[in-house]
Amino acid sequence: MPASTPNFAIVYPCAGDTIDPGVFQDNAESIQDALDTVSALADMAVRPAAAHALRNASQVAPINVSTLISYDTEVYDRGTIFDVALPTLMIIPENGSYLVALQVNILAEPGTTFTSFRGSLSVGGIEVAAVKSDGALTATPAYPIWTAYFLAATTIGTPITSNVLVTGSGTNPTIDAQIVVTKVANV
Amino acid sequence: MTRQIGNHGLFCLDDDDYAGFALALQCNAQAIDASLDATSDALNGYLDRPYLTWVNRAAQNISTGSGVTMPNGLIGSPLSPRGSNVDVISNGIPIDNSFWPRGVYAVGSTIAWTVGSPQNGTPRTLNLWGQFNSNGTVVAPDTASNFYFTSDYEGSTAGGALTTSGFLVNNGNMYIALAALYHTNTLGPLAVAAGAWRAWAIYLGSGLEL
Repeated sequence: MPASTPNFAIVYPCAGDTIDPGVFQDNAESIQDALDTVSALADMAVRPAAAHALRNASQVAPINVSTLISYDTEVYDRGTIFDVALPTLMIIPENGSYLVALQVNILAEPGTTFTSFRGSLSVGGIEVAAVKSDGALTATPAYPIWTAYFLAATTIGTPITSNVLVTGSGTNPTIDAQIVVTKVANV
Repeated sequence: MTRQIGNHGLFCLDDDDYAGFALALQCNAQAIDASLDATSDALNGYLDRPYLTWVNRAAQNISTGSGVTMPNGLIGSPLSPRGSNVDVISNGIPIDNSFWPRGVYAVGSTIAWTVGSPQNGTPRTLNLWGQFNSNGTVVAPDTASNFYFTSDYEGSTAGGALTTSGFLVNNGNMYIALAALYHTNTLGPLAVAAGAWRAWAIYLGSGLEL
């Protein structure tokens, strides 16, 4: 008879002519290896690589200038996606497909004329998602915009950045923001 | 006699069954292997979930009044995963007339444009919906379900961007998801650069009773 099972190579403990404690140990260790393999898959499913970062302190967004959003707070980070030492970057930690979502709020609007408010996501420096509100806007209370993107079949190390652009005239506005990156598929 | 216990195919032995030790232990190993293999297959299926992305490959101008009739009766210019002007990445979702895997999908689309002759205050909507076919007949899209849109109005700064997202529930008859842009800027088209219009669908699971 075969010496082990077909999928996880679990050793049959009494396959030989004699009872050998070493084979029983092999049996236990191969079951352990099989459980580790499946546990790793379960962990990937239940706890995927993901990060959530905030721009908590107000950030000045110079009027009429597209500005990189700089995040100052890590809410959670599984997979080393965000590093406060590189506050404008989210880095894809392993190959796969990811959902990315961005929300931006205006905290203090330009004083004179406030004409539009735009947020965007870029991957490798190329804009991939955006949202813009036009017209007569008011920023009291905070005026949120959001956008999202599905990053399919992405390779490890790919950088994600986010920008904000407020147009109008008067004083420079301030914003806060949050960004979420979550792995949703291994391929 | 050996006895099966639990629901994973595992055996135990009675006191008088020493001769069955070897076979019972082999059966237990095989049962553990089969149970873990089934769990592993399910997890790999979950981790390699189907998805589809499509993005416009070339720049395009979007005028009013042409394109497809959307679920709300308005006409919008479509971004179809089956279009000739799209780059597609598919992981297990067909882009021919086949039905998509039955279940629930998270869908989204995002678009950015410029406009040379803006009409202040005219609307733009980014729409997203699923198309269904029952027994060979295309079902009229429903505005109450499987239809999502986001809107904005042209302001004093020409050009804009919209993002829409939602969930599509496929009872087995859905064969495509479409995004479409609607606007009433009759003075001129909206110009969309290559790569500035993207859409996606991500399979979340089979759902209950679907």
